Amino acid sequence: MKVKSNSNQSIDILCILIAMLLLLLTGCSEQNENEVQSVNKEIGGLRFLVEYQPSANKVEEEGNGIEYFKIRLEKTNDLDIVRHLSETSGLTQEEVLYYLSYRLKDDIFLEQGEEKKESVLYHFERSYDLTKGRVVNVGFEPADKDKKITLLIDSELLNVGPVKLKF
Amino acid sequence: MMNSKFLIWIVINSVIGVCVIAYLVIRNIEKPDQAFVINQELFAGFNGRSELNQKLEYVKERHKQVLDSLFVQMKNEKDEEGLKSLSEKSRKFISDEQELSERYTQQIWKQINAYVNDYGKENDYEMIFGANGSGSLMYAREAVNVTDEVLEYINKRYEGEK
Repeated sequence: MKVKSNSNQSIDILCILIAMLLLLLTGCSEQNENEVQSVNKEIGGLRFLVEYQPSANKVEEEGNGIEYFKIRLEKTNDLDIVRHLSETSGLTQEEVLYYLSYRLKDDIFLEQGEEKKESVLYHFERSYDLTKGRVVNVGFEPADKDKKITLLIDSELLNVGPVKLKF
Repeated sequence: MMNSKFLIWIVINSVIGVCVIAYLVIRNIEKPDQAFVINQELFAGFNGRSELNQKLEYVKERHKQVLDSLFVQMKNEKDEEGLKSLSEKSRKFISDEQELSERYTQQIWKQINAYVNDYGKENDYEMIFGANGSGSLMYAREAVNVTDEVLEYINKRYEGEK
C-alpha cells in the first residue's frame, strides 16, 4: 500500500478547509427574506436604530401582511431624547411626548420607487422616563417584495432633515 | 522528488503572496491619510439640498397665494387698515421663509458632516479638510481632492444605502 507524502496530505487538508469555508460563506450570504433586518444612522447627535420585520408569510397568505418597523430614537451622547428635543424646539416636554405619541406618525413614510405610503399602524412606547431613548412601532401595507423599500423619517421637530433607511 | 501538484501549489501561493504584498505597498504609497473637499461643491451637489429646496419653494408659493388672495380682497373692499396689516403679514412671511431657509441649511450641513465623518472612518483618513475659499485651506495637491468621491458617497448614504 502506497503512503501519501506529507505535502500531499497538507494540500488535501487545505482543499477541505477551503471547501468548508466556501460552504460557510455561501450559507451566510443567503438571507432569509422574513428575518429581521437592522439599520442605524447617526445625524446631528441623533441615532436612529431601525429594525425591519418584513410581512410574515403565514399572515400574508391571508392577505393581511404588514411591513413592520421598530424605530428607536436616541441621543448619541446618552442624554434623554425628550429633554433634548424640548430644548432644541422650544416645546415643553409634554408637548414633545404628545408629538411622539400622536404626530410623528404623519412624518414617517415608506417609499418604493415613486410610491409613497403613509403608516397604517403606529404605536409609541411610553417608557415613563426610565430610558434615555424612545421607541415607536410603525406598520405599512405590504410592499412589492422584488423591489427595495426605503423608510423615510421627515420630522421638523427632529431637525436633521429627511432621514432615509433602505432595506 | 517534488511532484507537479505541489509545484503548482507553491507557484499559486507565491503569486497570491506577491499580489497581496504589492497591493499593500501600493495602497500605502498612494493612499494619503489626509484629504480635502470643496464645501460649496458638496453642498450644491447634495441630493438632500434639492429636496429641502423644493419644500421651501412650496412654502413660498403657499405664502404668495395667501398674500395675493388677501390683497385682492382688501383692494376690492378699499380697506386701508387691512392693506397696512397685509404689508405686515408680508414682512412676517419673508421673515419666516428666511428662518426656514436657515434651518434647512443647518439640517443639510448636519447630514453632510455626519456622512463625511463616516466616509473618513471607512477609508482610514486621519483628517478631511473642508475648503470654503475663506483661506482656512490655502493649498493642497489636487490628488488629495476627494470631493467627487465624497459627494457620491454622501448621496448614497442620504438615499439610505448602508
